[in-house]
Amino acid sequence: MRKFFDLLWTDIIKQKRSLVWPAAFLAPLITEALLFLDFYLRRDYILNRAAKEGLSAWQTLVLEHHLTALWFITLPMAVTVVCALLYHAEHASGGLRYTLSLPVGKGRLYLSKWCTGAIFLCLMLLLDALMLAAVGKIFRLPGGLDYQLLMSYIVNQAVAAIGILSLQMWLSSVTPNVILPLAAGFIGITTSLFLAQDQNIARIIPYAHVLYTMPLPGENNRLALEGGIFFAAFFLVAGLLCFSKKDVTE
Amino acid sequence: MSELVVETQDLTKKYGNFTAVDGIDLQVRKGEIYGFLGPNGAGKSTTIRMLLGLVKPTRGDARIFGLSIRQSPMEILKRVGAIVESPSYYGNLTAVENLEITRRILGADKKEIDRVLEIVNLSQWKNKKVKNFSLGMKQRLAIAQALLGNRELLILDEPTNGLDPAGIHEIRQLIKNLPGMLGVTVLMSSHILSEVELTATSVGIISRGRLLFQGTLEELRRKSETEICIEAHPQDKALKFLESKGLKVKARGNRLFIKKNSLDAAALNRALVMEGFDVTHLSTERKNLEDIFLEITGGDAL
Ligand SMILES: Nc1ncnc2c1ncn2[C@@H]1O[C@H](COP(=O)(O)OP(=O)(O)OP(=O)(O)O)[C@@H](O)[C@H]1O
Ligand SMILES: [Mg+2]
Repeated sequence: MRKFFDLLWTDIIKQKRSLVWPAAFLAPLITEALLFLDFYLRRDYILNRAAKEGLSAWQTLVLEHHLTALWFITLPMAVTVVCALLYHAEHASGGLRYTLSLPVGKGRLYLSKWCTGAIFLCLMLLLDALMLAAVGKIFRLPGGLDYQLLMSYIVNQAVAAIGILSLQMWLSSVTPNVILPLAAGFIGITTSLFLAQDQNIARIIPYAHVLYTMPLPGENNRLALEGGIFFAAFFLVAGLLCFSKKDVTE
Repeated sequence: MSELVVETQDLTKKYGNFTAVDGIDLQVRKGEIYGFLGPNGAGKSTTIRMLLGLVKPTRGDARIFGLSIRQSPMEILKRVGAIVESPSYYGNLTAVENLEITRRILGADKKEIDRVLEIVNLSQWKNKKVKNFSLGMKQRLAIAQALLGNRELLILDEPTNGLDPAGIHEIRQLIKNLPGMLGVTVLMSSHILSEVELTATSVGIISRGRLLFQGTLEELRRKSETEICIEAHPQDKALKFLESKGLKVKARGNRLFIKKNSLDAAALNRALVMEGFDVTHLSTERKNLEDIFLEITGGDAL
């Protein structure tokens, strides 16, 4: 176990001075900037409209953040980029053949990479939630900070996004060409935007699950949670088997 | 016979229909420097990748320290330092950070980093980002990584690739001293015959995936027979004359070649002159390693 943490530590260190950090931090930063602008320009209009629909101010903040500020697209995109960059660090200059000629094992390396991705995902979601709360405070939303709402929002997103993470980790690990997983992810995300409106279709597309993560009345969070867990496990196992069998020839 | 550190049986790798490595039986003894020699594309790197478990053999097995690479890869890799093809590194990290990754995974002592940096002469660059290193410096870093910790076997794929003449000399010297200094065994691939001749004690020659020769450098040299080379006129008559004496003669160009064995060149000369031939040239020639190599590999140049 200690050895696994050593390996995980090296996988995080490998990202020192890499583009993963800006990718993971810029995504929430840009989204929150958009949200800030949105509330700055039309705070009262948004809150009045939402009140008519029976939403609290904090629920409205989440709604605006998720849809108007485009977080439901930005988050899957950011996950796609992070996964691709994590493997790019290995493929770029023979890192994979080097690390795997140490006593590491393909399976353990794959798990460690997956965990590294999950850590970046969590960092990203925490940062985003902190800034979300800050925006709410800045605009003095009525009622105290809704911790429960924020917590379930984070958890829903984490579960839905980990399905994407598992899929993208797999795609990124199979090819040394960084363009392929990025293209697959971006195409998957944009097409799922059209298809995600239909819940039956959304159910089978991991990229679409993030759309269903707002903890608001009438939202089908179960779709996101069940799908996220299923695809996370499915693609983790698939990727693990695939990677363990892989011939490291690059 | 001393103990075998690396032993492969019928080790084979196919990529689709193409056989990159074809039934190789390597034998590397403890404490030796084994030169794994072959022209480009011969299958050296593929063999090394199989020894390290990076690539799965299509057929056959490799045993290192008596353990099967299929069954106990982790036990083996703990004790093996390796360079595979061009040097591998994480460019965004410094030399020290790169080595720290190796150290962590091996659980080696902190002091190891400075020790190996010292050995490969990189100490003054240790805090520089590796992507700004020259090829030779990257190669040195790769060697440092292979030396870190207590490795009993070093598998070095073209370790002097990309170094300048001084660097090549220095690294060869280092490799030469390793068995004596640290008691390690070295398996080193190269496509440069003279390099293997200068550093190795044993040689394996591979070409087109097949191991064509394996033995000590001495055994390889012994393959080089001496020949007597004669220019005599008229040539066809001289040839018939020599053959009538029961000798095997080969004519190449305007010269005749006879395997020396226990033949006396002076006596041969005298016999030819007495018979009325004009002998304009007579010499004994020894094939050098280059010729032997070309003969063994069937003309695949190095
Ligand atoms: N992934 C692969 N797919 C198909 N063929 C491959 C693959 N890797 C290597 N080969 C082929 O296998 C043969 C042996 O390659 P290898 O890299 O082992 O040669 P080498 O002896 O190391 O040559 P060099 O001196 O150029 O490094 C080559 O003909 C190469 O084209
Ligand atoms: Mg090679």
